[in-house]
Amino acid sequence: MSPFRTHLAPTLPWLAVFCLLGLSPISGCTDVSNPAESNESEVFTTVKLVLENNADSTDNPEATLKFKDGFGHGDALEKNDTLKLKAGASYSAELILLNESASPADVMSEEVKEEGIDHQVFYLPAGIALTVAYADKDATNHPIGLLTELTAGSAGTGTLKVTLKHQPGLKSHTSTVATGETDVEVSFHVTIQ
Amino acid sequence: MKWLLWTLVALAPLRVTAETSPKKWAESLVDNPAPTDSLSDSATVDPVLDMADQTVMSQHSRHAPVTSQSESSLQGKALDRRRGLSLGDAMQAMPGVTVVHTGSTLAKPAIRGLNGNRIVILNNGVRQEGQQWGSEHAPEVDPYLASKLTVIQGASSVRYGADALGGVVLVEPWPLRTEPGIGGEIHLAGFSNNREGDASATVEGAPTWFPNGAWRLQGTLKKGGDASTPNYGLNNTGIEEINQSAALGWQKPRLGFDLFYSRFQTKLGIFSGSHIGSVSDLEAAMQRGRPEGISNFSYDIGRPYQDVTHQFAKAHAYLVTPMQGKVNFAYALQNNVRAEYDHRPLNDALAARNLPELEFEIMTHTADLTWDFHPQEEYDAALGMTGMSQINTYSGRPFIPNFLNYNGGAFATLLKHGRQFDLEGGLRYDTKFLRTYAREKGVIVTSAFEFDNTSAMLGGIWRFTEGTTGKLHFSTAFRPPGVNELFSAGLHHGAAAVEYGDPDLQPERAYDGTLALQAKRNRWSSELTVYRTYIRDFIYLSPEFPPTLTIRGAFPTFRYHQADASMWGGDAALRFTFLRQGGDWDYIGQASLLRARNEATGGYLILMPADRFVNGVEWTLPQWKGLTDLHLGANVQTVLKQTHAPADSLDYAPAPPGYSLVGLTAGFQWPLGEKASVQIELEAENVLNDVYRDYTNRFRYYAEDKGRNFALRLKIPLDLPKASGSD
Repeated sequence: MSPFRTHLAPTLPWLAVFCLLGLSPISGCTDVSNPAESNESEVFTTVKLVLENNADSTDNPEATLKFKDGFGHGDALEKNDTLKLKAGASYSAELILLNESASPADVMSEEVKEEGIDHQVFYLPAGIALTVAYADKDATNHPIGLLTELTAGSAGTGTLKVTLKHQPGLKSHTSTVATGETDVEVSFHVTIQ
Repeated sequence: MKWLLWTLVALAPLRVTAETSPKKWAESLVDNPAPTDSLSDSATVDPVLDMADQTVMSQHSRHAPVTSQSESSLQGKALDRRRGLSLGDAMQAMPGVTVVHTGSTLAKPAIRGLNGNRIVILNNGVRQEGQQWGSEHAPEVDPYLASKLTVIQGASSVRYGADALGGVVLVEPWPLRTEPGIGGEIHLAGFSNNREGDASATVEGAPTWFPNGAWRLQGTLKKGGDASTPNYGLNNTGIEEINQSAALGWQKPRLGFDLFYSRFQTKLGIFSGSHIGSVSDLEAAMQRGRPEGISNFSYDIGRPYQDVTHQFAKAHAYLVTPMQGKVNFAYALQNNVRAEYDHRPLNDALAARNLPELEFEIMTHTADLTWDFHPQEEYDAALGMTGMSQINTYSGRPFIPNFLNYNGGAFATLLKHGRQFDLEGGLRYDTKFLRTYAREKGVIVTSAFEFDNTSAMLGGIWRFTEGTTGKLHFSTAFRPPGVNELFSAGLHHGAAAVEYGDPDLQPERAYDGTLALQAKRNRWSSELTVYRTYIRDFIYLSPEFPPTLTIRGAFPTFRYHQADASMWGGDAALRFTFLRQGGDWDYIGQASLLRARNEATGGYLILMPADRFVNGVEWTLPQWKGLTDLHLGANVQTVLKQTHAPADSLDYAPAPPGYSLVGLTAGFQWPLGEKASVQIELEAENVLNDVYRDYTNRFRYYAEDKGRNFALRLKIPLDLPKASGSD
């Protein structure tokens, strides 16, 4: 195997003829030397938790996790904030999901809310005194999990795993984080001071 | 030499391509293009063995053996008993053939455990070119089009070109009609498990106003719903297939020309329980053991699914030459469009557009020229050149880059016939040029590769006594790395893994030795094949740590590596008539073993078929009360647990336990008039409705394999007795 320096490959004038004959029915005869831009129909790039202290409206912690170019390219983690909470405080939280590979960014959490009966977000704290309660409901009265109430316990550090599941026809009062297909699965670092 | 090949390549569509099927090769021996069997004729090939699984191992009964390679074929009634199955499933249980499944709908044939890019499928004499690299890429061939399926085992590159490390599959249609008149046949098949119905019809004619001319039209419709296991239905495993073909020819003894066109289109549902978004989903699926959201039977195919269209056009001509020779040349164009649809987009506007997440289009021109001749009476010789140009583009999610691919090759073979001993040898030289175009961070990156290689073979055929034959064959073949192995970068959805190619990969080279013995006596026939294959620089995926962190969690990560691999195995078959009373009562036995190791790590290769055995009894009766060809059979197929698999840490789940399945067959011919008859075949698979999972089914992680299945197959001739083309 040796890299070729000259452009020896003949062009394919006949290709055009076959394209005209309609032998290339769907995508048409794309130019081989001009590969398509990554055109993933829908990706999540960014997961954002925005909180407000229920007792102090000036205490607004937030944290963002962002992957560079969506899913499937060995995405490098571009932003990985730590969520900082106050011991003993309770917060109203909103989960915002974005596709920042589109311009302007798509607010994917709006789409999730619209199809709430097929989606649910699950929260799993680990190594830290944190409880999460659902604060929203879909059309069939099951939680979606975009809006939650977070209660911080004693000081410490740990993680909060956030999982968005697509559960078409599967979501029920017995469905769990193991049900359906995973759209998002990330872990935030959390510190309670 | 090389420049000669490149000239051939540069002539691109003006080139010609060789008819490389052994049938044509054999025909040239008799210097007469008369068909060996015609459409309306039941094949009269003398079977050495007629297996319970309906395999006929033909021993070239009409011609002296023309190859020292181990080969077997399926045709005539034996093939009719497998109509309606995919190409892979129809060929399963031919010696040396197994199938890699991705669920119940996708089947890829494997020869000696090697599949995909390591085998070559010749459809109507032309290399089938589609996406081959994934186990979810089943061959785009309508088996109803075939009059004969042949498997050539072992490295076969000299005649068939690079890549044929495991072997070659030949799919051959009927020769065009030569007798004046109109004829045809209808195949109908029904399957109980997925409530599938198939209809395939062929009409052909040789008009008297067009001397030496003939035409044929053929079409197949296939529709099946959700398959089911003994315990539950498999949602979204329906299939829809529409195929058409047309042929037109003008054939004189010394000269002929024909055109062929076919279109294959399939829509295949992917089992919804297998569609996972992350490794946690896969683990959850395995833990559940039973898929979630099982709903009632349906014919509907929703996302995820594949929609694949393969078009094929070919022009072929032959000319008889001095030295009892025949030149074949053919040019073929193939266009393959594969669209893969994942789950429905969240955005309603996007969902309404129903775009595939991934789409590949590959366009291939092939041109081959061969000359088969007899320099002296006891010699068969062949010279040939082949050329190919290919263009592959994608849209949607990038996984492999766009590429241009040019191949050129030339070969020569010589066989000397002796009284008891034939000797043959052959040489081939190939050159391949590959240029890839990828987009990395918005910038187009192009790479170019050239691979030049030789292939060779040497073999002998001994006829020890009447009915006893031995064959010894040595060959070497190579396979340049595929574009996916060089450049894949990202998530391979079908495999739930992030895969990385390596642009520094070298071609694989196989060294293969095969010994085949056949013996036939009055009441029994047997066949034994043993082989040893060494593949230098075998390309395989090796896990990398840490796993790739993505927004859907951590994914196991693999990179293509190379190491030497060694394989050995054997196939044995026996048919023995133990009673001749009220018909023939035969015992049928078959065994197949394979071991494949990675020489660098000492571990076993992944996804290799486990050892398997067939034991069966068949009763046959030529005639009874106006019915002919009556047969009744029972068989047990036993597959052992694959204990020769890679360490458990290299797979998501350990190999499943072995299993035994009971099958039943019955059939007869019901005469209509003097010459024509309706063929009726009944079959029951997995009669006891056993629960099992197969190691080489990629969906074994998610669900059980198919349960009981009854099949009814009818073949109805369209010929009026007067116009019958049968001989």
